[in-house]
Amino acid sequence: MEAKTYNIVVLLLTDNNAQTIDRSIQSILDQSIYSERIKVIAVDNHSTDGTYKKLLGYVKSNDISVYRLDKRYLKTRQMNHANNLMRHTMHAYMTILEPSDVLYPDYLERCTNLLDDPIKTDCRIIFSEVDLIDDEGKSFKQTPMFDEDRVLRRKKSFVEVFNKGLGHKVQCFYRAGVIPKSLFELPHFVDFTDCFRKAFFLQSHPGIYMRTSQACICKTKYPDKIVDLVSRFYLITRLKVFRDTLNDESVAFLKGLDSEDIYRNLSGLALEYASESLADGETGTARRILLFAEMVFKDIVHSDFYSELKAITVHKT
Amino acid sequence: MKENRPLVSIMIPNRNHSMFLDGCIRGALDQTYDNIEIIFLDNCSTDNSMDVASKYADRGVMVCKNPLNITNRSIDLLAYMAKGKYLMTLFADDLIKPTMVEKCVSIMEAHPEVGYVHCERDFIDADGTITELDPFYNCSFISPGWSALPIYLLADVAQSPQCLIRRSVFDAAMGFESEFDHVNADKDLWFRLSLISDYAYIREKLSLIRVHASRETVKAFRNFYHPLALFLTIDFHVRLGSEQELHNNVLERKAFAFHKLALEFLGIASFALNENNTDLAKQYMLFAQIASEDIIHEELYTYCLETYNGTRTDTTPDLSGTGQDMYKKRKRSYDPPEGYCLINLEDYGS
Repeated sequence: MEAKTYNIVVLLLTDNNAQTIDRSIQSILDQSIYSERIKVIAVDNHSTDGTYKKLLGYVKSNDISVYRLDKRYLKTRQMNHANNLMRHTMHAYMTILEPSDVLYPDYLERCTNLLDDPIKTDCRIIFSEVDLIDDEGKSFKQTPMFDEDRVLRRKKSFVEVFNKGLGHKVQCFYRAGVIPKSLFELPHFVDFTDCFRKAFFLQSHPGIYMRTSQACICKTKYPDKIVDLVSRFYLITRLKVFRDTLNDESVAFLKGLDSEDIYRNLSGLALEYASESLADGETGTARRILLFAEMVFKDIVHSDFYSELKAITVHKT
Repeated sequence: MKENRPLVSIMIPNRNHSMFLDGCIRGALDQTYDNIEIIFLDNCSTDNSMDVASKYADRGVMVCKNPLNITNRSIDLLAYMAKGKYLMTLFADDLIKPTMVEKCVSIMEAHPEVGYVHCERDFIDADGTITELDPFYNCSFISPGWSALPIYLLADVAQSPQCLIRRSVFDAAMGFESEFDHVNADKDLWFRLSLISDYAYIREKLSLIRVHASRETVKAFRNFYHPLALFLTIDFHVRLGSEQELHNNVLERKAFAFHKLALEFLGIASFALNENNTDLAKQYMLFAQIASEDIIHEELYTYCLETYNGTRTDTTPDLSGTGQDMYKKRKRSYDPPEGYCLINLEDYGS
């Protein structure tokens, strides 16, 4: 049955991306699902490069909704504002599209079909694999997190996804209510950019993993790689403190955080960042990232990759 | 008369501090200011806290208990329950003196642009022994919030029981960040309040902050949560300050703030080394270098490195100025932040 009013919100976070805003919006307009079911809500982070003007054009031509923030905010605060601005929307599902990203044409249809399925009514979130594209338009494939589509069980899958998704990007599709009304229930720096942070929702909600790529996402470089790594380490540590404070069955699923794997993986991610930094000529940053890699997993210093990066860093210094 | 005076909410979160509760609650009840609501929220204590607190229910204290230990989020609930024009968080092991609320309110009522006021404190240990501290600033004053911002990157000026906050400003600053442990959360809150309001400081000791043995402090650092939170808080504040171009004073202090933090990490590293916890010490030494690469030129770094490598013979370094002595008496009394104006408490009728 056709829906008469929208029940899917695509939240579009824009921030001075006039060059790529058209492709993002076009990818929503090209969705195979009935367009009446979709409402695009753009929250513009006080862009000054023409992005906002373009959005106003889409309001006229395609009836999208737009909110403009009074000034430019940090990404997490932009998300907070967006969350507040959406509190009166009536929707059953939501996905968030970040600047420059595009959805593949059948993304919304596949996701809504899955969550509309009465058998899957418990599932409240879909994690989909994505392709990556860098600023120069070069595309990359990520190694999928799992071998096949699967159900992600609440709590039980959390640590697994948290661990596997450490440096991973995914596109998420949410049933209404998954993202808490107050984002202060989440750490202040949760910015929804990757699977690691999105995995938090699996503490409260079961989900579905889709192995085929459903979107193309920009391989944005973190403005500060060290802060990004420290935040990841913080999130892991915070959960352990939380678990040890409560110390009861309700948090037994967090036992998995004692495994060495997560620290080894975090350290491995740091080496990737260090390698990127060296490629960008940022030797000082690479040197500090190598210290971080050793700090979270001391045995990383015995790996060939670490030795290689260390040698380059020393040579360049 | 009471009706004409604005309501003040004193919020007391508690977890297993029954031995200090009588002093804490009585301090709140014995205020000279007469329009106060006191909300006590127990965080699922396993001691007899509820028995102690319940004695005061007849005196108007709202005694409440959470179904489970929700850690810092208790403060969110307390703020939700509080109805006062002014808020104060009084941790259950701390104490306030009888005129604290009256003096703070008199300044806030006279200066609606002031979002929060700090008074001074001394430290008190579990046995009630008081350690006198130099006040942080050398006079009482009101200053623009922005000029106080960089101070919070560098120093623990005050803790919650030294502060009265205007509710409207608290809400506009988006409240208490329950992500942090409370020392760090205080600092974070002062910073966010300063972004949007003026600041007042009373150079009078009106609070007593309970301190625990330094080994307890190290315990808090052992799980590594605290240093990561400190690091991210500085970074977050620098970015928040940079959001508003006027606040370059924050950006200018970034490197110094991280260097100071690195020194604190080395202090913890040396403690860990003294306990033969070499893995933890190494972690802190590495984190110190991540925070500030220049830290390797500090004497304390050399001390830690040599001790770690087993090449040091002298085992009694001078650790003053490091994180190790954080609860000992320090020389302070700095000039107020830029743009301040002096205040005299006598002018406010208190």
